[in-house]
Amino acid sequence: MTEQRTLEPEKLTKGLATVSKPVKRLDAEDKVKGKPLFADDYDRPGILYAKQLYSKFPHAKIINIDITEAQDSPGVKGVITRDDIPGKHTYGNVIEDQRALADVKVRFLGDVVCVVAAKTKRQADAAVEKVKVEYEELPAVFDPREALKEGAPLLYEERKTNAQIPQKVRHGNVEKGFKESDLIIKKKFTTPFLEHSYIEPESAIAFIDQQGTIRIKGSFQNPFTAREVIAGFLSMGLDKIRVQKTVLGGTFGGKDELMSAIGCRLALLSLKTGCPVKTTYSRENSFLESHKRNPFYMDYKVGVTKDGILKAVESDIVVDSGVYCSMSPYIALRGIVQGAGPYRVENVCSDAVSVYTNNPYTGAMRGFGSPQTNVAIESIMDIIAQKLDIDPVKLRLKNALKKGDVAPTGQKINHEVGLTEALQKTAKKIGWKKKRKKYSKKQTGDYRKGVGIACCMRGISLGAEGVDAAAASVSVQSDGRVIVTTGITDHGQGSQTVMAQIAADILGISIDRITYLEPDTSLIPDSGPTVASRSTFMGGNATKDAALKVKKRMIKIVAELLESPEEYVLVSGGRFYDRKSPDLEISFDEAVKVCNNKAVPLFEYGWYSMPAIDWDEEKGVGEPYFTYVYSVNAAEVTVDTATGKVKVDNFVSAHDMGRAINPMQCYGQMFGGAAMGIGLALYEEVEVVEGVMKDRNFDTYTLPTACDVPDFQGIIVERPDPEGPFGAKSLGEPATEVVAPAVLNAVAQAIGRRIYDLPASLERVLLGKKLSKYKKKKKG
Amino acid sequence: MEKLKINFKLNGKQIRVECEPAKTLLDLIRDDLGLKGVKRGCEIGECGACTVIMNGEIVNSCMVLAPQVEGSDITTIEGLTSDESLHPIQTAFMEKGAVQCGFCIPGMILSAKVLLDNKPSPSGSEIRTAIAGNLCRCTGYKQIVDAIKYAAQLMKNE
Ligand code: FES
Ligand code: FES
Repeated sequence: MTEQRTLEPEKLTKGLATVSKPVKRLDAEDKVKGKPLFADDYDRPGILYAKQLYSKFPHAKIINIDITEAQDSPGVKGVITRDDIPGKHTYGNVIEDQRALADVKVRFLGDVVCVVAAKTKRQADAAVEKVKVEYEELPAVFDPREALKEGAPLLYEERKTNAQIPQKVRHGNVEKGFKESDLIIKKKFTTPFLEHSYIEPESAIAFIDQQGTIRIKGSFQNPFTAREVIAGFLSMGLDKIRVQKTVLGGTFGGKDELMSAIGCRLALLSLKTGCPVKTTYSRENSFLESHKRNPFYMDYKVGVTKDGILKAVESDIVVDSGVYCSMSPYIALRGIVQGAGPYRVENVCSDAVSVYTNNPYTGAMRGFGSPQTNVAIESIMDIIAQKLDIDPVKLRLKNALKKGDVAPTGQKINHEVGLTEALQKTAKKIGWKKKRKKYSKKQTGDYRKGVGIACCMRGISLGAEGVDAAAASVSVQSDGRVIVTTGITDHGQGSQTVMAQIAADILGISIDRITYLEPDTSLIPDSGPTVASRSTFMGGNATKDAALKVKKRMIKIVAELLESPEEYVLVSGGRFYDRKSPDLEISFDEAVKVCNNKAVPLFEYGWYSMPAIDWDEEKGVGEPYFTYVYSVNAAEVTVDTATGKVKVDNFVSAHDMGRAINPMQCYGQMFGGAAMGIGLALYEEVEVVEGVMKDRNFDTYTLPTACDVPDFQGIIVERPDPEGPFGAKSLGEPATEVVAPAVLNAVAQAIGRRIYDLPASLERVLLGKKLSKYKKKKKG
Repeated sequence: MEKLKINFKLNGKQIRVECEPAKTLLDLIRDDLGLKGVKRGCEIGECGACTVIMNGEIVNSCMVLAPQVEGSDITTIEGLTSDESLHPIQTAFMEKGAVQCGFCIPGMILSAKVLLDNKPSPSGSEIRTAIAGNLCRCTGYKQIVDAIKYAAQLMKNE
């Protein structure tokens, strides 16, 4: 085994005051006091409440909408339907198919046909019931594999097919690879619909300010996208719409397209009525209308030599996209790009297609396609390990990518790879050798134990999914305090603090001098969506750029003053000094004063755009992402074979994240991601029967509680990336995406049987099949 | 609808309100009395975002009807300390990185308070049981559990 250089975090960060330190979150004090205003906490005088009317059928033509009675209902000030849309009816990032108000058809039970605004919530509830809609029911399709067949009902007739944009990965020659293999494993896997389950439901308020600008405040994950959608819907200029994100109570990819729709409806209602209009979703409606994690139907075939060297990976994946495309084609792409694992595989042939059905729509959710495919490839790795009688950790080490290797997409890996180190450290921390051996002996009694491991690589930022750039501004005030803004939104993950740390260290001042302002779409250039775990990387680099520009300007003035050459002047600990003669110094505050007196502006914009990538979507070859995070998770479980209940006793999460700018927050990401992954492995599923969503609140949709998760352990591995701010890459999604296979592999060892369909619920563990809580209608 | 007069103590102050008999305590506190630290997450008693302390015990305020609080003593996050100072539990949550989005946090802190009032040195599993009614989607609970342990220490040293 090649020795890997271990980089000591302390050495990397020598001389930095805040980066790599567990700095307290900037917003922590307000949050522990319960002070921050979330969207539903805003109010305005003369406010109206909006209530939406949902479709009655999973698929139907709208013949007529009669609003007369609703309009005359007490307290009602405005009613909107398809007939009131001033501009574009449709929106969508990839395919423009989504509608804030249904027009010709309804395509699922969460489509909104009409919205009323009334003086009280109760009046709005009552009025919306009085809207009369005449439908002509259409045949519907609920299984994406059925939807692909000739003659299946079409959701969008003009597209002539329910298939969206097929995605593929081609590398080497799989035929050859399978010929060279001694063992070939073929398996099928499925994953269900999942709910993001942010604890704060969607909420927003719209009003028109004195300048006639439409202002919308709410739980927007991506205010810039929302603004564009709303402007198109209203047929107004972007400058006339201001979208402001309030403190977000979680989103995980969820408060996106639905928030755009809510923004459109509220803006239109407030234009129509002249009043502020607000809505806050009930949990039931949040479940009904928001997008879900995409169910994946996966067929895998993997070839390996008898020594455990991977030779070929072939996969064929159908992705349920529901009624709207959302980001599904790129979720499918992410799934297959990462779906052959973080391994040297010379031959890969993967296809994935997202498909329209009359189910709830699906889209981005923390992980974005890879949590699904990681379940498949990492389960198969353990099947191979068992068949070849190789230890699962050793099998992974044998195939693990290293610097200089070629990844499964054909991409040459030119960066440092911390995967081997992460594998070794994780195995050590969970006590792999001893436990794996102990639990492989025959176990008796009701309680059986197992340990499992899994690993993955994650392409950071948007990569092949789209153009990527971010903006930031740094403004030094006359008293030496600093305001930092970026277009990156903080969902609770703590990006504010990370940006402030970066600015503080570049300007050489303490972090408590920095105030971070949440972005408003009119005040900072479009920084794209906060998705794809891109905050630290993209926003961090933009912040760095802005801070460096300001610093450079200050150094020039200071150098003149100290009569030192510019290149000798450094700043740290709140003072500028000459590194050759350190007594020549001036405090940061003094320097600010001098700059002000000389009318030198201490405000700068920063900009960062992603390094070029090279992905050929047609051929399925190239470099889909410019760099990767490497992750390893391990789980130890106890299975109660009398009830089927799985308890995760221990869990280790390790990541080569480049650089941990704020280790405390990094652990927070790891543990939160691990809990979400345990939910995916063991508990969570939104059951949808013939288009009807059966789980619509947390009574039947079970989230892990504090008693369902163990005392997590985290490992930070640092292989700084030359492109990243202080070497940082990302973490938000890696933290979730490889949890489930580690748990499933542990369960497989414990019960001697493998679960291929998620979640590994009580009945699947106990009986090997799922018992639906709900009966299906007989097809007649 | 006929309104009822209700008297109760809220964060140490005796108050008197009029409200509809079917109103929940959650709506009364948030909408009528304007204390926004009490959060609304599910309205069926599952998430714990609406947690308040009622006569020394944890309740989900979405499951309590306003008239039921007649004569009770209610504490919300706003009333955790009498002034602007921080309660040791709040300090501990900040220092241990237990806060992410913050939406579950008021409820968590109140659950922790009742636990520590009754059991000054709880074990890890006692802490987990005490907050099992408070869902958090961000943190994975670990840093929250650590914070509550640390708060117990801080409170002992006080
Ligand atoms: S809102 Fe009361 S428990 Fe969820
Ligand atoms: S911190 Fe976000 S739900 Fe707990």
